[in-house]
Amino acid sequence: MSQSVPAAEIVFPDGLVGLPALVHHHLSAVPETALYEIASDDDPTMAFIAASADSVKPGTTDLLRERGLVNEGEWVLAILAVHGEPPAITANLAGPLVLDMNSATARQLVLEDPEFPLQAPVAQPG
Amino acid sequence: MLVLTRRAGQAIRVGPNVEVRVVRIEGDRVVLGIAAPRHVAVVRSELVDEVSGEVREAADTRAKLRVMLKPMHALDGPAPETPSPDDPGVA
Repeated sequence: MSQSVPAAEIVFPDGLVGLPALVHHHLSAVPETALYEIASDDDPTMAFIAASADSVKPGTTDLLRERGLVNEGEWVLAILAVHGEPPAITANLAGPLVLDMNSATARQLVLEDPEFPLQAPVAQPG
Repeated sequence: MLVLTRRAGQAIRVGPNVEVRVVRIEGDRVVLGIAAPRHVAVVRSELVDEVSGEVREAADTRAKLRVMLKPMHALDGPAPETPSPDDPGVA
């Protein structure tokens, strides 16, 4: 199912980890996928694709909530990148994004936990 | 930068709720124990750099990722709607 949705403005008050100037972003769905695109309004070269962290590692949101890192109603995304040859998609579980859509604000966590690797492999069909 | 000398077993306090204790010293490695509230993130500095680098890598490889996504519906599931405050299923 493909659905066109309006973009949502998201503010990271503290910026991204190590990139504090990246405060203002737009979130939109990537057509025909279960993925999202987050594009910085502060730096046009900084845009990336993200997936629900639970789709990469089931139970992530609940686990982070139990640890007091995610509040009720917040939503956790993992940033995707491409590594290696042949290229493979990985998810950054060590630095997940936590979004509060009620306030349109977000933050990036840093998780010191081998259960949440920097480059978690993402299953690909075929 | 404040520089302190501590022996194994001794500790320092950072603010009212954080304690950093020298657990033991092994050659050129120092083993630290850190007691902090759950909401205080305690991570290695190099991990912060790695996370930041991975964000840049994600931006650099976004075009390649989009090409890879074309023939597949990644992470099988319904196409998402951008979450909104009216959507109770955001969590």
